[in-house]
Amino acid sequence: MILFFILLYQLISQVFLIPIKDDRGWQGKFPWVTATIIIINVIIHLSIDVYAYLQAGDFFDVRWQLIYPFMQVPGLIANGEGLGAFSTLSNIFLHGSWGHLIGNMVALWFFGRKVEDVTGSGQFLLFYLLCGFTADLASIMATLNFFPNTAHIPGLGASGAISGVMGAYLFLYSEERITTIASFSYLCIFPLPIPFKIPAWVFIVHQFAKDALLGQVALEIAKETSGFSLGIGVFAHMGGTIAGLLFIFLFLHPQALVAHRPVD
Amino acid sequence: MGQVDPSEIHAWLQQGVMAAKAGQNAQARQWLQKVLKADRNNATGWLWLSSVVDNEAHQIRCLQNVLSLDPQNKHAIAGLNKLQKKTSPPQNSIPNSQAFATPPQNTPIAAPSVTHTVDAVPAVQTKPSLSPDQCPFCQHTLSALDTKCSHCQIALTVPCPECETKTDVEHTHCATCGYFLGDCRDGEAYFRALLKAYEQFERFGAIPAMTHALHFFNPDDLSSKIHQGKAEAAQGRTEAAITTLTGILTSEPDSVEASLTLGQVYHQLHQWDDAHRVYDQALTVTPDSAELHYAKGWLLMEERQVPKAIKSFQTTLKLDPEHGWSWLRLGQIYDAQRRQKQATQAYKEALTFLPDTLFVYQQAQKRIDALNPELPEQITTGWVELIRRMLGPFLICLILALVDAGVTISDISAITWLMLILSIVGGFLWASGSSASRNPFIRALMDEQDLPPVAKTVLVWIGITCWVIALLIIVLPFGRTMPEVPLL
Repeated sequence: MILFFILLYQLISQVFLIPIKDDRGWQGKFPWVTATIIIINVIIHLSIDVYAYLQAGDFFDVRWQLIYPFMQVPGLIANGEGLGAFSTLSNIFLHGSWGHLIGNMVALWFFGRKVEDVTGSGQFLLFYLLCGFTADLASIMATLNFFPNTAHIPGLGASGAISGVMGAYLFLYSEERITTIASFSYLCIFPLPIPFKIPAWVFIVHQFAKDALLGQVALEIAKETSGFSLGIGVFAHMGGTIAGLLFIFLFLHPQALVAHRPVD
Repeated sequence: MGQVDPSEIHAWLQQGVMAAKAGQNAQARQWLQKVLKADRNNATGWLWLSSVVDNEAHQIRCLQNVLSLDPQNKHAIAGLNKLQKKTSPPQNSIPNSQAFATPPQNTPIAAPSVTHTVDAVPAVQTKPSLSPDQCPFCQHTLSALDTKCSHCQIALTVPCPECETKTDVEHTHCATCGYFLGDCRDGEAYFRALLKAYEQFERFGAIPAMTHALHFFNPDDLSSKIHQGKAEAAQGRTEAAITTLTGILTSEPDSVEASLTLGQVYHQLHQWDDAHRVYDQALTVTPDSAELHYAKGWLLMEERQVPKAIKSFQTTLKLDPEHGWSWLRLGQIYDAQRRQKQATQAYKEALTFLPDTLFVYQQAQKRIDALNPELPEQITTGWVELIRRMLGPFLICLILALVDAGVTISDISAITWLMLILSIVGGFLWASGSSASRNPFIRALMDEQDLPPVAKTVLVWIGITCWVIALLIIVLPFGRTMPEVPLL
């Protein structure tokens, strides 16, 4: 069974999709909150790297010392140690590398501004934070329940919150078509220069399916071994996506909810 | 016409009667004419047709036909008596020719009597008489069997735009339904009017004959060739249409109508590049043509190049602010993009400029209603809506509190519980202030009156402040220490 999941995951994960644009186009209303979140993330990441670079000692070591307390460590959370809820807030503004940051921010810019357009800026900020926190909670609970031996491994990144935004996009615009370019996962830096259009739901479900399969693989392996670290917060991603699908309902204007009913 | 199953005739008759009863006269006429084409002796058909034809002369003829089949028919007798009292004697007439001879008594009258109603063109008296041996257009000698003049090649019979019955050109009215065909002695005007009628009734098969006739009267006539191209396209003869229209554009590159028609043909064939090429070429010659910009916009819209389509429609509206179709397309685009206010405004503008008989008019009206709905009561004034608006901020605090307590509810401290309650209060005040007119608590407190704007603002800010305080107290790491950093 585990081999089946591994094979299926390998098949789906061979393709890495990069969104370029959708048919909805520019709305004429600047997405202030999305832009601000991106700028904050970039500033924080840049500041950390600059500080680590300027310090004496190994760059990665210094960086690690600086960001560890603000990362989300399930073991510390469970024991009431560390910064507690604050680390849940801080970790969604930290990233492991420039690639990690850029990938997340590209996705946030693409999906976030469309969702902010419908919810409004204030509500979008609340929604973004709620998705991030829910993603973290899902990750913590999955780790503590299924992979207790990996509870000391920290997590960071805006992926959970961004997965929530993608989930909201799926709720609002599932039929929208996204111009995408693809690359093979191991050659992510060399995408194929052939853009093509796919429905939004295909794009988002592809991401979710990858996480779900990887999560299932991890669960199967965890049954057999004493611990297994994926290196990717798949449960945060899945938790975030589900949170986005559910919670967007709480942040939409009433007329936006009602106006989508079909004409008889 | 071959034998038609009587049950089918009966079914058509029923459809015609239902349409007549529903007041859909045009539809009723079509069904009833179908019945009468299959069965000229159908008295019921003639009787119902008399109720849906559009003038009294036609009504009289229909009722006369009923009586020739059923002399005792009370409805027909009563109707005729009533009408014959009203009808004034004919003022103008075309002299009888052999085609207008009255048939024997017991045969239904197929050809109408040759009278004009009051609104006939008085100038008919100065027109030359028609001779059965001469072509009415080129005066060439005809033989008795000719259906087309061998000299000018113009057809001597024309199909009725409404019921398609072939009628001699000398007849001013259709033999079956009484549709006014016009006076063939008007020459070019006669054929132009018929051409327009064929387009209106979508009888595209008859158009080539009309364009040929118009070409006879005016060899340089461009519009008839364009009509021919349109007819060919409508009949699915796209290659012929492209050839015709390309030919026109070769000699008349400034012809916007030809460019539009050719572009639309390519558009229907999904030959996007060719359509773009035609429109772009036309726009270089006529950059201020609103119709060209609209056609290009519609093409881009179908290709889902939405931002460019919006730009094209906006250009169209700059050139022609009353271009209803551009407003409609913009409304459809904004609607698909969930831009409710812009969609509503665009649809409203479209309704101002489009005729209300169009199907899209009704659709636009429906979309305006859907985009600006009467909100259900639960959303406008209910507790459900209030709770929905409060839930988001509360969940943020709840999840943080849970994480802070090590994901164990029982470990949530008393202060954190207090802060959760404070977050509920803050959320409640925030939601109440921002939706005061819908808030059931405020409505109850204020006896259905709305809060003054200042009070709303104060309420919102108190709510936000309470919520932020609760959030900060939960999330900030008071009493916690930085964790020991393990080796990398």
